[in-house]
Amino acid sequence: MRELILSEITRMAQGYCIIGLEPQGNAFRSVRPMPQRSHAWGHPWPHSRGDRLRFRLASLPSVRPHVEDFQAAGAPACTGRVAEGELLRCLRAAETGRKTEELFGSALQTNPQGGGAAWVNAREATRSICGCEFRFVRFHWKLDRWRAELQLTSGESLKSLPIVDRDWNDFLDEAAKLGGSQNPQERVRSFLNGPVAAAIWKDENRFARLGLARPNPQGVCWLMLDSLFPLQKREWLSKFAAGPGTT
Amino acid sequence: MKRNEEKVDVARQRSARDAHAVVERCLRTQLPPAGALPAENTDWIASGLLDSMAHSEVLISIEKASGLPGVFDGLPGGPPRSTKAAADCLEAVHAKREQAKARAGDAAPAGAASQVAVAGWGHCVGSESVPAAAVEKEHGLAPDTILRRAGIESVARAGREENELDLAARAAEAALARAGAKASLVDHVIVTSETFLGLPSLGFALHRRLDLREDCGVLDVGGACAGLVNALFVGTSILRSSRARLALAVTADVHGPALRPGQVDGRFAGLFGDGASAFVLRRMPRESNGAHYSPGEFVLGCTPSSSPSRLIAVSPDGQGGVQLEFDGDALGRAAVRQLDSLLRQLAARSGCRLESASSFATHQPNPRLLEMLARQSGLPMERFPVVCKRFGNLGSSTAGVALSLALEQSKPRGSAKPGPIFVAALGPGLVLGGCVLQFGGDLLPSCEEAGRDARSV
Repeated sequence: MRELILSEITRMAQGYCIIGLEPQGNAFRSVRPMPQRSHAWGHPWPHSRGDRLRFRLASLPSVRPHVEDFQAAGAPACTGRVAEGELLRCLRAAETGRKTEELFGSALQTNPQGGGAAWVNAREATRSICGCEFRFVRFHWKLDRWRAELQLTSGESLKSLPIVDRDWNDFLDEAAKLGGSQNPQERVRSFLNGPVAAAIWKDENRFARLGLARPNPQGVCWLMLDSLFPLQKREWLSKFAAGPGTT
Repeated sequence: MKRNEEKVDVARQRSARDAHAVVERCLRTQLPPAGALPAENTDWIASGLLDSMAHSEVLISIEKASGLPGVFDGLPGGPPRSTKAAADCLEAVHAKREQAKARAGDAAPAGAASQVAVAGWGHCVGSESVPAAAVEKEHGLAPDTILRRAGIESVARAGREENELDLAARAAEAALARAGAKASLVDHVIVTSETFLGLPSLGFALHRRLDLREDCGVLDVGGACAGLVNALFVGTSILRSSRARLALAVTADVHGPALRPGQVDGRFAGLFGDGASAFVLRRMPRESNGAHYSPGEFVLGCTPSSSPSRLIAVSPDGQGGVQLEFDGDALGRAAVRQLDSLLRQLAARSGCRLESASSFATHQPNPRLLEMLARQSGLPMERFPVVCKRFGNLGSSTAGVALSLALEQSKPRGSAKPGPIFVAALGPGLVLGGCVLQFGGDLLPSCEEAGRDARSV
């Protein structure tokens, strides 16, 4: 049995993809436990970010860039929990990059005529998850999902990262319900880029984990926002619900 | 009324063809280079052609290329997933716009003006021509740095007694003369310069030098190398939205004092020359079909959060000069990419094909980059009036001088009208601006005649 600290729970079409941190000397490495015959765990996923979970894991053939994949036998057992600050300390001791080219071991690419989503070539990338410090975040709704723009401490920007973090998505869904019937996304966007972005900006622990989607037939792996620290706070929603002027 | 309906029909047919072309071009950016395009009803996602992220990228690029941001947001059935669905969506929006335009045309009071003509143009460059070898020597550069690497043969420098105002006034006088307009007819002067630092502004100084009327408005606009498009946009917008008849858009740049040898990296400073350009914009009656170029679609933008913003930064050094940070190669690549994208956006928005253009008046940091742009865009080099080879990078006046040359060259031949002129420029940031000038039909009434009632405004 191997114990992991659950660091990512990301929404996928058929369920959730999860990643945990496993101690390795003074550092940590990311491990992606997957159920039999699927990349995703089904609904409902009963565990929370920061849970200590014990898995029975078996190695899988290493296929770049998803070298963190492991086969899990059965459901994990929860043995405890770490707080947000401790989880963040562990994440900073796992895979990190300061510049975009350090994130996945290869250069990021974007379509200048497109929406700014970034991708890496599956054959060149050496891993599929990485953490980074960032300066600021902005949010926008485009087409069918929330996306984030991150400016890294290197000054480089990732303009359009789809937010797949389950907890942030739950938060955004709740905010949308509070946004009213007329164009709720616009109201939520103002809320996110106003008081929420300001609260994140004031927090010293601005850290994100970026993941790579599975390669498509062209060998393109898209970047996604798997985790965003500081984590969303319930009190932000209460202020949003109370209406303009109170946030 | 009938005429407007016919216009709408023609526009609808054209927009249907354009919509399909735009969708297919954007779809191709996410497909393997050798792959065939799918049938127009093929579901891009269900067929495995695109994943959800590539789907979003295709739709966003279609929105950008068609100049319809957000057109696919909030659709009742979700974003379109086939070529036909996406093209139908664009077409429907275009049709609505055309109908709205036609209705507005029917409702407009007689005499309401909406067309703007480029009635006159002119340019001038610094009176001293300095060969590349001399520039390399004064900046302590290795031989051929300017000539071979950048492709600049000489730069035009303002003489000892020349400044931005002198060059601007010369260009403006040439433009007014070509338009057959007296300075007293000018209702607004819009001036841009990336080098003028004085107060009062260059616009004020030019107003005084040209002895313009007291009720002639003065506007100084920024944008550095993209300043020309900003000035044309402001001038055109004023004429379209007010009772003003004549606007003068002017660029003027004299780089020498700020880019002294030893002060700034010679590989940067050595590229610049001095020049000015001016354009007389005149409001025309709606039904006028004069033989002139009219500014049509404008595309303005900024890419503040992408990496090009870090590629060049110029700030005062506190000693009368400037300090500069720049990454020339990366900036050049970004500039070519953005100019190519801008030209394509202009083509999509205006419905003018790039192949049909008579000229491309673009910003030209140096001849090598201009050649790269022509290559990347698949456009013939001879359609770019080359300014930077003999004069250097003239800042906001580079595109201005190129446009002045383009207008000079683009004359009707027999019964054939000259093609559109694409203007595209970018400045640090990157700040982007472009427009398409399209040629009208019959003879242009004289400015004197058209401006007769301007004084009463």
